[in-house]
Amino acid sequence: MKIFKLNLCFIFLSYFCVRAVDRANFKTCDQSGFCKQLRSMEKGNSPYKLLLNTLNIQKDSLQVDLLNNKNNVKLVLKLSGIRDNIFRLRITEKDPLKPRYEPAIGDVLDSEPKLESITVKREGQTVKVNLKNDAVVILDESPFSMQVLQSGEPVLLINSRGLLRFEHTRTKPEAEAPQGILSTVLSWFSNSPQPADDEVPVEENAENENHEKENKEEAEKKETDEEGVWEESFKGHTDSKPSGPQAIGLDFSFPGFENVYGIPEHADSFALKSTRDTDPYRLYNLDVFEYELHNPMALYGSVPLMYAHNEKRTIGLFWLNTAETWIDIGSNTADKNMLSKLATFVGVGSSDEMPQVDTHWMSESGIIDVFFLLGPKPNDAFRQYGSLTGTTPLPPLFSIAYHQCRWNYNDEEDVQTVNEGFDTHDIPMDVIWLDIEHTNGKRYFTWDGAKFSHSVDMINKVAARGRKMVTIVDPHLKRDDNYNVHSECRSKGYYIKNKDGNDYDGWCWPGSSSWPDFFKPEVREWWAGKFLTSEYVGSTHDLFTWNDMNEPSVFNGPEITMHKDAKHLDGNEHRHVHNLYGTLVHRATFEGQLKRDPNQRPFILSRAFFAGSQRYGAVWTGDNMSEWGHLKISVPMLLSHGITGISFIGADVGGFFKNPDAELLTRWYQAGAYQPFFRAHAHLDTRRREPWLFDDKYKNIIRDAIRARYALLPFWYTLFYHGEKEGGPVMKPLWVDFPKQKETFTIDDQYLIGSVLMVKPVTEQGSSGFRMFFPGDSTTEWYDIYSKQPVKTHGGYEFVSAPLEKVPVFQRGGTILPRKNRIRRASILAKDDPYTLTIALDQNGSAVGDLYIDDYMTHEYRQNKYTLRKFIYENNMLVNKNISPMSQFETKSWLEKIEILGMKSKPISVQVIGEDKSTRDLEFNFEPSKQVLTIRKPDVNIAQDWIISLRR
Amino acid sequence: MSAPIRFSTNFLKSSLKLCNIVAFALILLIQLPYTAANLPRGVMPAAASLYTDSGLFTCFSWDGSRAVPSPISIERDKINDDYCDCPDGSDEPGTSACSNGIFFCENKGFVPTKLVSSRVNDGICDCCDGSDEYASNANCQDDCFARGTKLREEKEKERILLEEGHKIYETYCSEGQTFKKNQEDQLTKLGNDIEELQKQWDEINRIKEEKEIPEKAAKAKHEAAWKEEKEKKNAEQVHLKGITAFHELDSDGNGLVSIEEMQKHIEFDIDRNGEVASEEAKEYLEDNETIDEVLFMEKVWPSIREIYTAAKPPEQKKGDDEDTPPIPQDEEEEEETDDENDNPESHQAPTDNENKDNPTESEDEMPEYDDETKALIEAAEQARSSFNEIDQKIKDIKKDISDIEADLKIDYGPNNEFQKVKEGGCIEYTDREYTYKLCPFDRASQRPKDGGVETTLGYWGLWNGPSDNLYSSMKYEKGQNCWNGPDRSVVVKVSCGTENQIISASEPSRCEYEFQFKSPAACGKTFSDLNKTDPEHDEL
Repeated sequence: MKIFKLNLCFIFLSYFCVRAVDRANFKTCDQSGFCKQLRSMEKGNSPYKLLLNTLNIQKDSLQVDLLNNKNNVKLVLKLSGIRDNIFRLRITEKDPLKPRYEPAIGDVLDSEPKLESITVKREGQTVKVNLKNDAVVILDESPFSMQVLQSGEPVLLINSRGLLRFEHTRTKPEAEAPQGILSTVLSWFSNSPQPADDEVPVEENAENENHEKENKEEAEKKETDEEGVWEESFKGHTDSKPSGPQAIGLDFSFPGFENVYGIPEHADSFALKSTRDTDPYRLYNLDVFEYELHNPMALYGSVPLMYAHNEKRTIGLFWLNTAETWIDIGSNTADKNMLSKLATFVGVGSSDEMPQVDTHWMSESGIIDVFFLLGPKPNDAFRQYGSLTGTTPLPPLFSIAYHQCRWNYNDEEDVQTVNEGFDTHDIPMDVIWLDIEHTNGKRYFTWDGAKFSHSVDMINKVAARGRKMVTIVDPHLKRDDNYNVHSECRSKGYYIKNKDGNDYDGWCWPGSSSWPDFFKPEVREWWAGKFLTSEYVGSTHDLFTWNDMNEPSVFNGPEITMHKDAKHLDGNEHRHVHNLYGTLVHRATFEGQLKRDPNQRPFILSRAFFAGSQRYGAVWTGDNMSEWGHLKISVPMLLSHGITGISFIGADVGGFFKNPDAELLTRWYQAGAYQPFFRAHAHLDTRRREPWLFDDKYKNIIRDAIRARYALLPFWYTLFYHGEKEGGPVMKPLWVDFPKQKETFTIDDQYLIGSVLMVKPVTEQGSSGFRMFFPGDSTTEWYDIYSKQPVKTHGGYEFVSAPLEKVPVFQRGGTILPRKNRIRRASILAKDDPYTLTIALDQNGSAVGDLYIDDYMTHEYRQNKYTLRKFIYENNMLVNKNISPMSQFETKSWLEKIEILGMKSKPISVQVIGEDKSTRDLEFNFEPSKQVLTIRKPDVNIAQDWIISLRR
Repeated sequence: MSAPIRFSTNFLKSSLKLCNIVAFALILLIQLPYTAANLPRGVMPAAASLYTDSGLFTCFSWDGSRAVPSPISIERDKINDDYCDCPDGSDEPGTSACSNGIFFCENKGFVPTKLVSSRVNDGICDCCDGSDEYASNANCQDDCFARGTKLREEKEKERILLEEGHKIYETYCSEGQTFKKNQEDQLTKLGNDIEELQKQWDEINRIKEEKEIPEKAAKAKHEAAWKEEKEKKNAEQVHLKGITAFHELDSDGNGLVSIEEMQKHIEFDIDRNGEVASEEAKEYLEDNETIDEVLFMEKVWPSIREIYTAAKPPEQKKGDDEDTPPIPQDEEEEEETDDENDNPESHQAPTDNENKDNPTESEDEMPEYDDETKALIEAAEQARSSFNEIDQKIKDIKKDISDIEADLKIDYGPNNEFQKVKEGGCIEYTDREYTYKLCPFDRASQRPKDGGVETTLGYWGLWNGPSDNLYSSMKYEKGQNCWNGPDRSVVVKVSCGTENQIISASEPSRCEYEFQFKSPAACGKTFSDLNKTDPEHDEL
């Protein structure tokens, strides 16, 4: 590092240094006022009851008031049926003093959910709701609780532990100082022998209004007297909390379940842990420097979506709240009383030993708005969630190929050298990235005048090899009047304000910075315009974007983020919307690329995320470290992201901080090659680590790993197509395909890609093999992709060797895997290349697979310019047929080879029958010892209907 | 299908058209030593015969420049049929079918090139004759002639530069070697010298030691005599002081010192309460009320000698000074200097004589050595001086030898050609922000262009080029540590140039620098050496 830089950086780094070692920079539940209060609530003592006389039944919803006995505040509960086995529970204040925040449609929910009719029946003290399918929701009047039954079995209990909490809007008591003494004195006069609130039963139709009012005031006073309710401090930052307490909380239990998943982002196991002895899992988007593994601390993004899964079903719980949220998880055996009561009610037999997961959700503000995804299969739940928040649009091909990033490629020459280096060493690569140093003084949308003065030429040179470039564009804008993006933003009044109404001013990379308020559509529109090549001078259509620091990261803010009492343009405090900010940065950038070229698919990588971020592109797990533990944790982390919609997800290959040794880097490339977003990245302080800087032994293995990714791009691309259409992850936990196999529930070091490949990356130093679980039953075959031989185990563990050059990957019997074995410099250069199909037979000698093809770049596939082929191999015949009759797409790509694994005997002959019914004999080779049949050069177009027939 | 080159039916039509054009062009324009028209596409000339034989085609791989046949043979029509049959890739020189295939572009007018076959028909023109894109939409123009012309110009420039550089290189070599030879000769000579000198040293040392024995004895004798006399003098003085004190104390002059008289002297205040009690005085008088001179001198004076303060300070002070005679100091120094070379301060003995002008001090000075001793000292002095001279000579030569040996240990290249680079001294290079300085085989540093502290980027470490070109890169390491990072280091890439200069400096990784350094010392290979590896060079 150069001296002067060092000095400049020192100011910023000192923030990091302090927090590098100091976990105490981030709040524990005890330090977060509302969490502390809600977590310490007494269980089983809910003051809430339904006011059944207010029950209002509509075609697709019911509404009923909910009274808090202690303070007489009324809430209103709304339950609605939503298409595709979803229902929504909404609880909010009946008469709030001011509106409580709810995200606008389009910000989190992709569109207004489509309602579905329900049947509501009042039965004494309960209300029974029949949803479509076989789900029943039962509401108990007092204390208020709910139960959800599927096929007659309880699957979800709501407020069964009485943790419903709804801090209603209120006005701040005047003059804080005398409050303590004075109010106590006053209370002696006004409520002479006043018993504690809890003991005062309040009638539904209280006659004595004064009494009621007094009670309410008293309860309110009690709440508001507690520390931190009207003001809260943390590490020298004071949160003015102008609206006072507004927290909400509710408990959900999953009887019959032992495992819950989801609620990223945490550097923790895939199956969530009990938080009995730790803090709750926290969701609060934060820039955590050198994050620790295996704990529930918040990280860069949040998706408040949890799945419970057991042998019978998968159900999802989506807590639509964008404020700071904490989730407690307990895995106690179900409360016998509650269950026996239930069992009696629904006529279920004894369930003494039934396991149960209890969860408690706590948010700082907003309303209770929960979607229940009733599955019952994992893919159903994923699809249901996708129908609410949208899916990942099919990414352009280059973006699922290999990305080369570093903080920083120093100048144009450096970029060109790296570009050439990949060609010299014959390693495919699609995208070169530029981190913050490419700008003129961290002013995004600008270039360093000396180092990147010919950026268009530079991009064109990279693009001449079929490649793309990405530059970083962060949301913090340098407060420099000569910087037009800032001066425009300021003069238009687009910045988020501080509590006093001035532009919020904080520190980030450029020094003093402000943050546009992306919640306002007008601001997004303005931001989007910045991506036009006429505005972003020096950019081209081959340049894409990276949104970093969008939690937002504020170096001198509380917990390195924005003050909660900062004000958005619509008057909302930042606290209400915090977790959503990053998504809207991502969204505005996405809209910018669309504005630049509506027909070109955008590509944007974001660090912060929320439910719905998947609509705008890729996310990565932030600033990890070059350590084996970080490589290992990438798998459970990515699985958690994947099932909660963030399917285009990856971790920095090699680790961001510190220097990986050759073995770790090699193993990380092998792992990354089989993860959805595949990018190598490195910190400014680390040594250069382009693959050719390592010994040939390692370089060649890294090259093989990257080439393996490229060969499988047709497969990945097809998976992403399905991802857009059907939702759900491309990188999947084993239980998605083996939902009834209990062993799979806690496995998070191996996973599936689609339903075809199973991968267990090597994440231990010096490992040369390990035991691996092969899910399924006696009929399930798994073929080693290297040896093409099936493993001997069916539904159990088997030792798998994993020398340095090998990453254990298996193809499931019964699948057909498309590959392009000609490895080009960049993915798009292989667009016309021929395919190889690997048919892994199941025990019936059958297999199926599919392949999606389009132009790889534009939105024309949405006008049906694509082809989706289905390959079916059965009865000695491989049939290629179009399963999307509306579509039309021509390709030059043809079929060069077929490999059939698990072929028992040699065929007499192999024939191809073309679209025009013409037939032709094909050469083939059968290896009896391996049971592999290779069919040579069928030479038929991949996008045409044909049949390849084996005669026996 | 009978066509020698088969493609997917989809692009067959367009590719055939292109093929025809290319084939036509080949037939018409090119007269090659082999029949190119019959040769499959992409075959390199060295392998032509392996493709022109009739019968089955045998797959082969290259072992250096030798083709090694494999056990696999295929029908001839499977050559370039866009399907990889040979695991070594040899059946598809003209398509991208084999991931390990090699495509040869003839590049008539320019330099023939070998491409990895994944570059064939990928839409990017890699061969200047466009031959790699015969079935893609790349629409390549044949610009081999223009590129050839440019290359020839560049080659010519390079040739001139290399030749010029090589000439200098040769002088570097010869001068470097001469220098090295001189160093080695010098080393031999110095070795001989030292051997010779060592003999002399032994003799001179012997003489010195011989001369020092009588000198030492004479000096010791003289000094012992002086010591005895000095002690005697001291005793006399102490006695005299006692007598004087007695008379001072005996203030009434009655020949006896009484308790009262003692009480007048505050120094006898044992308990330091400000006055001398009679008990205190009596204590000093050894329990006597009065005491006469004899008893005083015998019993009292020895115990009060140290504390007694005279009534007249000037006289007393003189006595104090007398306690620290300067002579022993001089003696010590003189002894020490025996082993030292001729330090001017070592001859202090004569200057001591000057002090004799001062009568009060000269009394305590050791008297001059007698003439006999002086003669012995003089003789020993002379012997020491000769010894010091030769001893120093040997030390100097030893230092020269170790310097030369250290320098000889530095690898200045196979012909010591980089010695001249070192001799040339430090070289600077200034970019936008910094001035970089390289002192070859010593140190590399950086300082901000607009002034500021110089930072050491590294000290000479080693040559670290690849094994076949070790002297193409040098490493300077263990520079100033980077905050929160490694020690700075520099890799200096060395290439041929007509003068020693740094042409660029960069920091590819934090605190790891790279200089591009031009030097005639790197012009070992001539232009023809360098172009030998290019077999088709003549075609230019």
